[in-house]
Amino acid sequence: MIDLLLFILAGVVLLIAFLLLGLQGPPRTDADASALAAVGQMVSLEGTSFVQGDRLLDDAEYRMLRSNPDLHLVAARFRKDRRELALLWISVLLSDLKALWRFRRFLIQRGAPTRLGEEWAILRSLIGAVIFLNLLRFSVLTLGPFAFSRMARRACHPVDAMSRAAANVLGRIPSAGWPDLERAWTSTAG
Amino acid sequence: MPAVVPAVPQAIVLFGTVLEVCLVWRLLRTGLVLTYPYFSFYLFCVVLRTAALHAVQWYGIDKIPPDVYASYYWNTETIGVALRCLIVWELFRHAFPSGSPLNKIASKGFGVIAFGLFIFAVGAVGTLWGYHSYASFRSVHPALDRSFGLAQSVFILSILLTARSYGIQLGRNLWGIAVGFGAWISLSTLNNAIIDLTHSFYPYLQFLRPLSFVGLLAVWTWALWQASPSPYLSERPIPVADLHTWTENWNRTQSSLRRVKP
Repeated sequence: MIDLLLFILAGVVLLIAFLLLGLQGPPRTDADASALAAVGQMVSLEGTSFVQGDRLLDDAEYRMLRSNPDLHLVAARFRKDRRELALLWISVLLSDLKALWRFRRFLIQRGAPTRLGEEWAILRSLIGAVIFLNLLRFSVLTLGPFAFSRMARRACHPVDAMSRAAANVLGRIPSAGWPDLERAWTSTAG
Repeated sequence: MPAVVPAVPQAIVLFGTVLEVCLVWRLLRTGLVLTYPYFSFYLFCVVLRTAALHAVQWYGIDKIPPDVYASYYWNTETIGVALRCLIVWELFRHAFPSGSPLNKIASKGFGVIAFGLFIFAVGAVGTLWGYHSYASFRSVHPALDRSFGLAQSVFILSILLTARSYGIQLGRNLWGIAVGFGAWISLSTLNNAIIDLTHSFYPYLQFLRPLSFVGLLAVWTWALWQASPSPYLSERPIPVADLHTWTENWNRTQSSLRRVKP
């Protein structure tokens, strides 16, 4: 009796473990590191290369200045500067996103294999990312740079995701052809 | 399997057969039959068995002596339990291909686990052999199924978790085979244990196994619809520059250690 109960318990635990693994889905195939580096080299990404861009939206320093009544004016100036910088950063991220989208289309145009389902997923994520970044820009514009600082720290994520998607497509082309692609892309972008 | 459960609707039996045929077709079409030969062998055995059971039904199950049919059914089920080890092996050899650095680490650890699980399974069957309900041969199959099933599912889960912790990309094919198979064996273990513990739920649980097998076939068909094998670790080239940097750093560490050592 106890043996059977133990088998039931083990069966339940294992079944739950497998179902949880199943719900997580197959592990995503990450882009090859060399392809990712090549994308970074071919497409100049100014927004993501800006080190600690998310710190622009961190309100810790602003709160420190605001805590001192003598520094209220400085805090207001600081907030205004941060707002302008954040807006600039979001604009650059949007440009990066568009550049990566164009680069991915360029790769497919050059013969990189893809599937309709994949294209549809990328299109959805692009639309979502553009909406997210524009909403962020609107919130910075109307409510200031620190209103949704926690959410805003994820502003780089859509560009990173698009970068990986482009690297995945680039990885399907033999690396021997990458220099030619880079030249063609530079002439197209120029 | 579904053929001997008369209460199971014919639609499920038909759906299972269609999925089996579909799976074989995809394996042959995509060439995965060569990539996963052990898995394919198991699947072909299952298909042959299903075909034989269908042939018996078509011929007329009443014309065959019940003991012959029962003996064929349970013997092939027991052989199936043993053949499932082929799938476990298929998963292991793809997750940790020979020649890869992980194979050397994993093969020893998994060898010990496999031996331990085998002893556990044999011990569990041996313990239950003397149990009051295991007098007839027919009753031994559930004991075999759940003991070896538990061992196999633990082994598959270990492979999946190890692969995950080392960041090994299994690919859709292997991932689908492993997760679907693991869930099915776990459910089978659970089902067999409950049926042996109490017969109250038998009218419902007797459907669970054929239904779950159809579910397994559906998952496998999805997973193997297109070739998506795991990238072999041994075939991944290491950039020469990285190798030089690593060697340099390692030599520096060693010389620092020698200097620090009293």
